[in-house]
Amino acid sequence: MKKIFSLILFVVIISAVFASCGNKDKAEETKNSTDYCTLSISCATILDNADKLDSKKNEFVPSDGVILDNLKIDVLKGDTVYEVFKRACASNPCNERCSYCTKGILTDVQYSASYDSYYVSGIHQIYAGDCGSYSGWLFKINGEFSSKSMHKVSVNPGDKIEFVFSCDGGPDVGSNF
Amino acid sequence: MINSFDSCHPITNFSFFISVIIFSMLFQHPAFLLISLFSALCYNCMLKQKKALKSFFCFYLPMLAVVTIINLLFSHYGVTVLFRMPNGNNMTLESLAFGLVRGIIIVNVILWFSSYNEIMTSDKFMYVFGKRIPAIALIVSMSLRFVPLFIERFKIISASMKSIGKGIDKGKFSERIKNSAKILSILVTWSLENAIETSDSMRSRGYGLKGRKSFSDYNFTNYDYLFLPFIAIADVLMIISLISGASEAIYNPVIEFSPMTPFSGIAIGVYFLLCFLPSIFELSEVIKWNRLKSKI
Repeated sequence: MKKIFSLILFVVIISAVFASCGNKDKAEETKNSTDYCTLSISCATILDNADKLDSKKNEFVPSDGVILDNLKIDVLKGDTVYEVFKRACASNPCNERCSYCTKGILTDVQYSASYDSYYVSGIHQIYAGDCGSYSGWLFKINGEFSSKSMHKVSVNPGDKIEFVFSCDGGPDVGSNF
Repeated sequence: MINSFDSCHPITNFSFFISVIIFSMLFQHPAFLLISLFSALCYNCMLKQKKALKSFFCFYLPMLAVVTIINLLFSHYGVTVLFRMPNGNNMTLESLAFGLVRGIIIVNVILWFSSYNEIMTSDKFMYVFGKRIPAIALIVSMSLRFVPLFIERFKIISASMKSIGKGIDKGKFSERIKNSAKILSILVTWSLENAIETSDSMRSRGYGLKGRKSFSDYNFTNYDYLFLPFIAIADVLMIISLISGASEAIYNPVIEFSPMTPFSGIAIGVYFLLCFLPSIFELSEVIKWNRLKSKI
């Protein structure tokens, strides 16, 4: 009986220590979160290729093609583009505040284990392949396209992240890949 | 049970099954799907009685559930969020609905094919296509027969192997593998040799030659003169409703059904009649039979 009691006490103490450590980590994170980066999501290229767009997706393209315009997002310690993007879309409506965005912008991000990379297949119901067979989402950080997966690109305060929709596989948004 | 649709002309049977199977695959509107599902199940029950219900609940319904769940887990399109997964993707009503639609389509096609196999026997198939495309018709009917024949022969061979003490269910593991390999080799040899024999035999009887006639006692009955034009008209109507978009249903960003018009109402009614055609025919024959019986 005594043994069991001491065991329980030991477990409680250990967990309390771990919990306090966890709190400390969190406190540190929030300390650094005063700095922010900006995130914009744009599908303006669709406006030039309106004839190629899947007619079912018409109502999801904003009139100026901008879904998020330079939104300020807090940067936490060790954040990557993936986390910033996920956090921003979960809690912000689109620029036009359409009725579908009451719970945040709906996104579809797929993880492929064989490449260890994340692939954004759809944002705001606009999916890869919806506007021509080469169309899809690409991202820029500080004006440059990255060849790495979005969860391997770290974000520093002041960075400018842009998600752009290309209708021809890159050239129309300035990507050379 | 009297099988009245079976006694119709093979062309009627074949055109009915082909049109029903094709339209089950093409329509995504829930009204059409449910009509097809219930009629396929109803007719399958008439043909196979309890066995049909058993396979429906034990095999097809779980398959429907699996297809739905897989679609829900792996596609995240749609605007109606049921709940958000921790990785930021959404479980949506739209992907659930489309998974259900896909599952029902698969179940429909399987149910119709199961009824097709009961009605369209290989001699009927050969009667319809034997003259026009003899080689392809023979190959198709032989390959459709191949798997059941394979199973039948496997049973015969394994029984005879068991009787000489070389069954696959007794003995050491290595021996069992040896015996099953032997059974497989016998099976393949037998089947291949039999296929050659069949084709030789068919050739020696002049199969596929010009001017060759074969006996068949399929006649066009009054019912065929009623059913065949009806199937043709229904097919044309269904194609029009498919092309004009009167029976369209969209599941991708938002669930949307085409508005109900008089034409789409007619299309649904005709599709109902088309799908329930053999069931209604069967039922009317049973009623007629019972009425005649009570008079005597």
